[in-house]
Amino acid sequence: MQKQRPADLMIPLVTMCLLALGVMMVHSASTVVSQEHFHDSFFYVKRQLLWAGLGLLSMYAMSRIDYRIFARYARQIMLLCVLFLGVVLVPHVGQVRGGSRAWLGIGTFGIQPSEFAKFGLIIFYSWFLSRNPDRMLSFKRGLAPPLALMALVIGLIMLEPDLGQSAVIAGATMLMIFVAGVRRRHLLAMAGTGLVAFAALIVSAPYRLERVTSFMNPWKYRSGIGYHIIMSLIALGQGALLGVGLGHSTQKHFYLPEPQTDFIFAILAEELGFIGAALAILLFSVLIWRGLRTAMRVPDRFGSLLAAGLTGVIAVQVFINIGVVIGLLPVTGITLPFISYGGSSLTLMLTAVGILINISRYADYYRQS
Amino acid sequence: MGFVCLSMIVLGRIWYVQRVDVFLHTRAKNQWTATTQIDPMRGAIYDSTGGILAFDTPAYDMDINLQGIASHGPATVQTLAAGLSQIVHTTPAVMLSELHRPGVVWLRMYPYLVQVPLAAKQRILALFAKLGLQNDVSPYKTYRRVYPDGRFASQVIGFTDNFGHGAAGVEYEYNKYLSGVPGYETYTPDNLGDPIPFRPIIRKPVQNGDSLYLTLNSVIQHYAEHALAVIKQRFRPAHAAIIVANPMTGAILAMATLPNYNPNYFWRYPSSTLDTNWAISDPFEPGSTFKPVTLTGALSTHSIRLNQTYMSGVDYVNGVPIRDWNVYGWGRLTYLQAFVYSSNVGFIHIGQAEGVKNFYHYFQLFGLNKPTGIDLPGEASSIIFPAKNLNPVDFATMTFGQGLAVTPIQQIAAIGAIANGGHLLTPYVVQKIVAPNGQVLMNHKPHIVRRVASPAIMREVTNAMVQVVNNDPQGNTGVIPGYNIAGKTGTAEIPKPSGGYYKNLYNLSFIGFGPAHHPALEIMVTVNEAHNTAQWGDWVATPAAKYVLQKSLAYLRIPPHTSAAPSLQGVTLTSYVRVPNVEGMTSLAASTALSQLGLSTNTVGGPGKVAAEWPRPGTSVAKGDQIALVSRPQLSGQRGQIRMPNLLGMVMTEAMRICASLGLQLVPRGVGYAHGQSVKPGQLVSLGTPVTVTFTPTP
Repeated sequence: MQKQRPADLMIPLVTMCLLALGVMMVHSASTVVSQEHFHDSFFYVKRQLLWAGLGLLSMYAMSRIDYRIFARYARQIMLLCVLFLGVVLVPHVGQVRGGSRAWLGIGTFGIQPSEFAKFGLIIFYSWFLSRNPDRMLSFKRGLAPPLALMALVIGLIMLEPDLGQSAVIAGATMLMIFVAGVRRRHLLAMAGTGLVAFAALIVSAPYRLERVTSFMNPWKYRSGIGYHIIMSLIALGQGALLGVGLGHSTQKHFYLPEPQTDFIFAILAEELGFIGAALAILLFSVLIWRGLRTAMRVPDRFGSLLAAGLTGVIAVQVFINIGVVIGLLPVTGITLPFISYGGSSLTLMLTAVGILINISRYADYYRQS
Repeated sequence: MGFVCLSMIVLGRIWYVQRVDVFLHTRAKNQWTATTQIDPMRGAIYDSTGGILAFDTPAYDMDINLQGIASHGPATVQTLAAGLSQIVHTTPAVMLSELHRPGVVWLRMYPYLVQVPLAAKQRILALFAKLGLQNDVSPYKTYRRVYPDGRFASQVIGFTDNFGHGAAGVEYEYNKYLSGVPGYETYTPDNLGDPIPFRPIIRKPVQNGDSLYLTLNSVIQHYAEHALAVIKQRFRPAHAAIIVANPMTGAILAMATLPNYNPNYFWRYPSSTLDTNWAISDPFEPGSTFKPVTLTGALSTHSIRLNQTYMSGVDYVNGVPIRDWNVYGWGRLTYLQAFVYSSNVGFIHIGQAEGVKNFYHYFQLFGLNKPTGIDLPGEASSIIFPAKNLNPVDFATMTFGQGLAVTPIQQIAAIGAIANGGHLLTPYVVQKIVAPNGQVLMNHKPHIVRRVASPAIMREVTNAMVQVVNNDPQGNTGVIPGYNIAGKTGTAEIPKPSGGYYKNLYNLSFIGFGPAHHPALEIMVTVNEAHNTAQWGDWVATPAAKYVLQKSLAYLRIPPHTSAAPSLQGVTLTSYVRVPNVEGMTSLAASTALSQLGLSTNTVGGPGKVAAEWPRPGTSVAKGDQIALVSRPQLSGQRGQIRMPNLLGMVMTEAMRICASLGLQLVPRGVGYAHGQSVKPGQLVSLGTPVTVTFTPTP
């Protein structure tokens, strides 16, 4: 039996820093929009604080619950997630927000089953891939099942449709398969298949290429799909080294759509400048570093895969979100963990950090692997 | 390792966007600066008595989002076009084509939906709201120019174009004062266009326009407009103008022109009407009204004396015969009589005595070589042959006002110098400019250009002009009982663009002032290409001038005075009677009634009831004058048709009166007694038909 040790305190510390930064930025970015839509400039920040409190409770609880319980219920959790993903697609049950039927809930309080499915899938992969490490040598037994499951989940999510979540899930899946030790020729085969599929999609409908590449020259599409990126880049450009100062963003005045969610990083960079943006990236880097360190030091395979998967989800989301904001990636619609406004996203991210903290308690610092 | 690389790429990109990309910064600046303009209220225009001639009233430009309304489907657009066309008084088809303008998002629809008044704005907004299009219309507050009197003095006041800029008249000339200065608010807007709070707003307050007080007197202007309306109705001229000025100051008291326009609806008129003020913008050959200028020069240089005599009738210049207007002249005349009888031959002698150099010198002294400098746009200058290598024939015709062209306003200034004792003044129409706070920015003082000739010379010329009015052998109707009026009529031939002169088109004019020796009013009437009349100035221009002068003298309370003008030798002052209305009486009874007043009669159409008389009832005529009576049988039963009378054997004046009373146009040939007529007696002809009558010296 493994010995329980004190948790890696860096993880909650950095998380709390990011959370504080996030609440502050949600408030700053959302005041104008809140005032306009709800006649209450604190509308979003009040809810964000509520979710943050809930998330912190969940984080604390998770840090106290032995993570191995997830291995036991991995199949049930996965089943539940797929079920909810189906339910949300039923009209009148699932709510449409921002063009996607992705929400379950009442009023402004809603949850996204796809958020849950993301973590459910990580847990399931960790369980599946840890049961018999040798199966990774076989394509049929080791690789096909996770890929099929991913296809199912992404298929359901694309029916909503939600490209961002699908991208994160695909990214996290690839990461986990890689971490679990995939064979090199399988990896190459997958990459080859992916390229061929991508090429086929583009040949069948060339406008897709245009949409995907529009982010490279947003000025050409300034009134349509390029608009978000232009507004985002203007915000960034305005920020310069030190920023215009907290609360003094201009782009949040209806120029940038969704300033409190997907494009909050642009507002952060505008108000706090390069220094603020670099600080946020530094905090994320520390968190990811500590997460991966935990994964490497945990003695059992399930814990290691789970820690790597959870950290991977955070890393992929951070990279996609910031990549979109700075014009490196096409617009997808994914939140920035801990910073963006959003109920289920924030709560689940904090819950995931809770699990990570719990895993870190079992990391063996003295027996380097 | 890969993770660190990725972080570096991200940080590098952020650094680039934030520090290096200049394009982004300029783009942000443009997006984040908005300016709201606050339109100033244009200054008002008043007449000299404070009556308002033009003012601004709040109005709205109704901008329409064409893409917005198009998205509601063609049926809605059609309903909208129908509704709008009712409000702005046009056809639905016009509206529909406007609403379908390609490539326009926000349409400002000229001239239908700009500067609409408040009531129309409310109706338009209600219409859009009813169709669910309330977000696709945006009223922009501005001002609408209102000219309460419509066509009244339009050529002086001018108008403002769709953009509120003065485009003609004083509206154009004084646009700088009238327009005011717009106010600005520069601020940082949010994406909805509203200012972002706590950002500096730069404000520049709006400055409303200054008001103009014109020299125009609305009452006198009204008389002039009325006289022109009568001329327009009776003679259908190509164009005409009346100018009334104060010769002591140069102030223009009235300026009316034909054609004119209603500045409230300027877009309905051709640009030739909008841009042309016939009183100032075109020079034309003045004819005999120019003779006072020649006379002044000759008298000042002591080239002639008024009591010197010459032989009238014909003069040969370089072998070219130049005849008096009646072809045979009046025998031996003094130069004073030459002026009174308007003898061209006399003026050739006067001009030759004066010489080319002096003639040109006085032409220039009278300011006729340059625009007068009146404060109205589009003033033209004169046209005159250069003095060098001047052909003697051209010079001969110039002495009596043919072969050179001047504008009416130049003549007003020149004759004004005669009226006021020798000072050439710059005419003007704006008396003062008053700022919104009441400060007087400019108060016009009379501007003396130069002294033209001595008061004594001017008095001599004035006396001669008085003689013209009082003793014109043509039965001049310019006399105003109780006042001495100085005047001169003119009948100028109109040159063809191809060379030569039109046979039957004339410029008829009258210029004069009164009371002659204490002038308060100076008037010029010019009528170009009048129809339905014999072609002499005193039949068309003089009655109009007389009407305006008589009314205006009474309005200005200038008391009648006994004539102090020296009478022409051998001519007794005539007494005048009013022509009574004898229409409906039998021709015999009419003749008796007229003979009791000392008037003779000339009846055409045989016995019967009198259907028309000429001069018209109420006209003042000299005792002993002949009244033409037309009896019923002369008129045919059909409307607009009359029976041609027999004019044979009549003298020219008689024939002219008969034709005038019947509405026929007499085209005289020769002089003396009627010897032949182009239309046979008894033939039915329509009104206004020209009849050529040849006259021979013997009956």
